[in-house]
Amino acid sequence: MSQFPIKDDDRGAELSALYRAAAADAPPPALDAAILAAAHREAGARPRSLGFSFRRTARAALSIAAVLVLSVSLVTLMREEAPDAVSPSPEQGAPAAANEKSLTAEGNTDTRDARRADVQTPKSIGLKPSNSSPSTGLAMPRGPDFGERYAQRPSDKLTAKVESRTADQGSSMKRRDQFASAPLLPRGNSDLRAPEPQRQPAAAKEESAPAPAAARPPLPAETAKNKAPQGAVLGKLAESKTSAKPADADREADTSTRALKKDSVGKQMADAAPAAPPVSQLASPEAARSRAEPSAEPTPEKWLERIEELRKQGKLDEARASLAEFKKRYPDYRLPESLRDGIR
Amino acid sequence: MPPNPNPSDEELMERYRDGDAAAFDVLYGRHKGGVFRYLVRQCGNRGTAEELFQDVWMNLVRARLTYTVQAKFTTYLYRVAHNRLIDHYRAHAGGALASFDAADGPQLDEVPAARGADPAVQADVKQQAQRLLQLIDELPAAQREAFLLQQESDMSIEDIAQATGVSRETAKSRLRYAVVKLREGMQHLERA
Repeated sequence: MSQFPIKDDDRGAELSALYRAAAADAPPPALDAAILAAAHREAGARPRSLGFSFRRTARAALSIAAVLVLSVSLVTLMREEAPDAVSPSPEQGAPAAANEKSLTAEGNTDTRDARRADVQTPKSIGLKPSNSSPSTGLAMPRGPDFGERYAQRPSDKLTAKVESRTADQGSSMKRRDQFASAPLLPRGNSDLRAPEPQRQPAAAKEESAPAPAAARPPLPAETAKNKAPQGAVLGKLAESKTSAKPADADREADTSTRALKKDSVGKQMADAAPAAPPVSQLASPEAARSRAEPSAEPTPEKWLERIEELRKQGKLDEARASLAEFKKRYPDYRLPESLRDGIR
Repeated sequence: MPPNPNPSDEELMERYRDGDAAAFDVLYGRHKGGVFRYLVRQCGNRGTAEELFQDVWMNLVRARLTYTVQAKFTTYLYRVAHNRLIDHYRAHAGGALASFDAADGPQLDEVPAARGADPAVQADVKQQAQRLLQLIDELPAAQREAFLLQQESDMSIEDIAQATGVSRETAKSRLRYAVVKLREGMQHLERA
């Protein structure tokens, strides 16, 4: 059976022919024109729409890419500049200050241990950790205002020997001013030891970072007197203590105390530190020793300046030794041109 | 590769989908008459047919981006027309939908006799054509649609079934009833 019964027989074909003859209707030309115009309009609109969409997509992609590039550049730049910007965060400084307070309040803490509790890794302040062997447990302190101020004290430590020989009064006064501007730490009671602070493993590792002068072994008398590990500066102080007259130390302490009182910063600090020892204690040899005791090492910049100074003064051996110590301490630190080839 | 001088409907529609407006012109020229007549016969009003006709083509234009070749273009086109017509029936002529709901339509013996048994009707072709159109108008909508789809777009029963959304058997039955009625009506005219 066919699917087209009309066409398969004559009658069907006749019906089809008859229908086609009758069906001559067509849409009006106006309707044709309207439909064709609309169809053309739609066909023309599509590419424009696609093009606009493409442009918009490209614009959005470019914007995102630009933001990403800027962000990455900023982060990279900040990371590169981070070592230069020694600006510890309040969170980092707060524990140190809190530790200071607690140690002061207890009043039975060893100054050295208190300072050791403050130790911070050089890396955390933008310096690379030392690779040298741990010996003293002294490292760069850190905290708001502490870093810069403490950084002055090891400078004194390095130059104490030189200054004591040259008896440069101006330099001594400057040093005392710097010292007076240093934050107050519990002084005296140096024989009393604070409980060993709990340290993080990283902190313990950092603590083992030696001071620049740590290569020199401490004096036997010093080790016998102090159980806590001490820096070489302490040894230097012990040397000066044994060689210098006690009166000199007293005089220096008195001068230091006067400078402390004159100095506004020192005055503020004195006011803010109820546990500050009396002048008599500062004047004592013990106080002088603990005061001059290094709690930190200089910043690399200060250290290098000191080496330059030594070189200019013609003390090449000391400058070389100090530079060698510096290289041990900061093996990755980029030396200035003048020191890169050594001391000549 | 040179363009096909006689592209198929499907090819033209794809070209139009891709932005070739001229392809639509060709496509429209091929099918505008058949669709228009289909609509005129189905709705019985020329003005309404023109409105539906425009809607059908505009629907086609708007849906061009989603067009894919899944069947003959004529099937697709008349499916659009059929749907638009059903919408029209629902809105204005609900009675016409009854014939679409009937599965196979009335029995052959229920087909009314053609009214063309007027002896005064002249037997020339023109009159026969007019009589045929009259008979077509008297067919139920579903049967008329099947007949018109076959005549206007040369669809097979399968294509008619696909375009109207019914089974092949239903489409075949509708077409069969339509032809029988028309044949009887024309025979009656000849006898007269």
